[in-house]
Amino acid sequence: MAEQIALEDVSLQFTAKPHAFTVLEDISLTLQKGEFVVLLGPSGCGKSTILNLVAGFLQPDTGRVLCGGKIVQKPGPARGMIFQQPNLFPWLSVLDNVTFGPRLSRHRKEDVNAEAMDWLARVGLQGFEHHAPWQLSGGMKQRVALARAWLPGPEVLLLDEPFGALDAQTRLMMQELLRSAWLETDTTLLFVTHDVEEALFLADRILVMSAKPGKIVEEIVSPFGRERDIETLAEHPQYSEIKHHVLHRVRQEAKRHLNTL
Amino acid sequence: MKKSLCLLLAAGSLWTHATFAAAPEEVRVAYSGGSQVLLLAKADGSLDKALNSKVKWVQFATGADALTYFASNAIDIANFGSSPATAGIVRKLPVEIIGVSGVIATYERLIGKDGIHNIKDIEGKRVAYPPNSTAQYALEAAISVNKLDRSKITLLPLRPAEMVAAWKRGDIDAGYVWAPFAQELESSGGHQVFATKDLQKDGYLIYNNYVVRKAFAQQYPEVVTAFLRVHQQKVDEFKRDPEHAAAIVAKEVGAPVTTAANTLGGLEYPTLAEQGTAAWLGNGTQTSDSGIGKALTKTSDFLAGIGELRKRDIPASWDNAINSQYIRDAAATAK
Amino acid sequence: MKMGQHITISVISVGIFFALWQIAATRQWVDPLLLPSLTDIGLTTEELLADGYRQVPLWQHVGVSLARALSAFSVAVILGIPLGLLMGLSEGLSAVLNPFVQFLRPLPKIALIPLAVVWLGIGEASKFFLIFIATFLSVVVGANAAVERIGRSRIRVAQTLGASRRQIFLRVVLPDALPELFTTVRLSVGIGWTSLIAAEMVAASSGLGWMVINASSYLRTDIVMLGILLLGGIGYLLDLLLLGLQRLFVPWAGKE
Repeated sequence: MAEQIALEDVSLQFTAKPHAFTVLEDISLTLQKGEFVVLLGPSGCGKSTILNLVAGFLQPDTGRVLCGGKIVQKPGPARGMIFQQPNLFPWLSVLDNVTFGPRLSRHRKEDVNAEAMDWLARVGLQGFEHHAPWQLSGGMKQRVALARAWLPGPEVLLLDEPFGALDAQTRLMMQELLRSAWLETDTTLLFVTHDVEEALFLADRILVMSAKPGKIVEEIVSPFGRERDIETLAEHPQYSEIKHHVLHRVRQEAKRHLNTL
Repeated sequence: MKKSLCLLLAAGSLWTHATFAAAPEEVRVAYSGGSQVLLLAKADGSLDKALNSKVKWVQFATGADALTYFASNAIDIANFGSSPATAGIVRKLPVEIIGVSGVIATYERLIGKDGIHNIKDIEGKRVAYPPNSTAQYALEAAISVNKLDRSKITLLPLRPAEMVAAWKRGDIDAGYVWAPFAQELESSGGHQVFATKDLQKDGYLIYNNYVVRKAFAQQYPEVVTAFLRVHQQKVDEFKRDPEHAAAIVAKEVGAPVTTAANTLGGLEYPTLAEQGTAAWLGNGTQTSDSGIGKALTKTSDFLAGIGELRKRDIPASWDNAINSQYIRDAAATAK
Repeated sequence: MKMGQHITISVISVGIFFALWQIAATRQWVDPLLLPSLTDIGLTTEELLADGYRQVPLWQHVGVSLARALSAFSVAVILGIPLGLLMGLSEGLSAVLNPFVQFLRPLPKIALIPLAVVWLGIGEASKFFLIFIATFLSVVVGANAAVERIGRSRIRVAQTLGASRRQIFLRVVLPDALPELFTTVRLSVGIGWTSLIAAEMVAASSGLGWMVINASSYLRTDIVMLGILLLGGIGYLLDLLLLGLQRLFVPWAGKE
């Protein structure tokens, strides 16, 4: 498989006084095309920073960040991003939000609207295309954000704790939605979270991170198959073991982080 | 012997106390920033002595301000123009006119640029006047007396300082104003076209008057009488040595000596005795028909005519507005 | 609280206030010179409506003041919003202009009158300038602040969707700033309206502000009160108008 994303010996310092510290130290990782990788770790370990580097909002102090073999200079439509807040444009309808990307490059509304309606159906929002963003619940808004980011067909989708602000039930629904949407495309997904169960359900690979400085301390390849059922996954024979192991590892890193504060 | 001396002294101090018991702690006197004989009494402190009180001098920018001060009870006696005084009296300010401090003769004048030779030439021109002032009244009177077409004259209300600026910018052609502004206009290419004195032959009496709060006068009649005596003393002082007096006043107001001299000399001063007659404040009877009473009628009619006063506010008689008692007392007891 | 309840309580409150006013004036608890009764003001209003004030009809005074104010507002908004936005986006420009803006803005406009007269004369130019400057400075500061409050995240979203800098400005920054810009305009128009009196202190012979000042120099507190009621009322209506426009153009304001 082709390499989609690569970080090679990337380091980043946070230089604002008085506490300059190393956010990331010699991070190297690669994502294959079409993979679903989850970055797991305690708060403040630099996982969002990695996303921002791949997106192009930040430049590394040392090392290189590559996407599709080319160095990432600035943000662009090849690397879509979903944030914890949906950040919909309140002056546009749901449909216009979703078609925002293509309309930037002068695609005609009529052409993209059909595809947008498809996506809205896929995220379960058919019938809501003419609603205003403030009329939607948190979960619905995030679904629109998903459709908006995915419609232009980016090679990579970066997700920064996108379901963190939602309640538990909605969160599970969104996880299912995300995975099933991904299964229909060949987009590479890089997903950041601190929720272990979320990571287990979603990921092909889990990268556990430490904090300050941010390093990848363990890589876990998921034994679960492509088709997963969120309700029955816990019954998989290896589930408990992996979950305990990952939990333990994450807690270890969290404690170590606390001790260094 | 000692006992009677003590008694005499005691009686004497009682009498002194009684006489001067009717003296307020403070007398608030309002005056405009222009030169006036009263300021001679400010300079040498004689007013304080004569009134046996501390005098608080309050300056105002225009006569209209004096009205506001009276309304808020901030002053006791004021020296300002007859037209704003009329406006205040008609609006039922509890004040009364007790004397004339000076008849405006050449003190206020119409200054015009080249092209305006006499008063009739102001038709078609832009003429400025300070609102609610004797200058405004004189200007309107001049227009009426000379039967000019008011609609052909552009009348602009401007405070004196703004008038000078507008003149220099070329925004106006003429202005009716007092010293030192009139002199400033003259030195910027203006010349006198008309003076308030020219209206006297048509029966227009335009003057500055002393106005007092009725409540104050009722409480301290001696003070009011003494005040008027001081005025006459200072008029006499000025007449004896105009240059010296002008120098003192100039220093008080911060104006050049020539300006002070022009101003002080530009007023006419009826004596205390004259003022207590029918020609001026009257002798206590037929007050409304006295010279000042008639002037009040003429002024209030004019102000009602231009819409500044309500006709229904004008009282039927001026008996409550003019009080000649003090001026007559002052004339009788003047040294 | 329901809208209907709110309005009722407000109406009653104002009604009680006017009733107290009328009683205080007719019973002379306060000198009628200082507080004319409402009936007195009413009579005066009738007279003014019939004969005008100083030979100029009352509606003309209102019209003149409105014309002065609205023309100054329009120019102030048209110039002030782009300038304020640019200052918000460009640190360089902000550094150049900010000292002047921050210095002039709190300056009482009455202090500027002598300067305005000397530079611009006694015609409409100096009056326009005084109202304009008060409004303009407020708009610039508000527009500047509006940019700062724009969600960085929305801009990032647009970047990841491939928007150019120009597109980000036109399609994200501007619409995002619109609610705040409307608030700024409402505030600034209010401020500009209050400087109407300062503007009409300069050689005016018509206008509501002039009417109030001139009447006060003759102790016509009845006309002064009427003028104040009119000035306040019109200011209030202007604000309601802008509020309506805001609801029309920025329906998402305040909701999210």
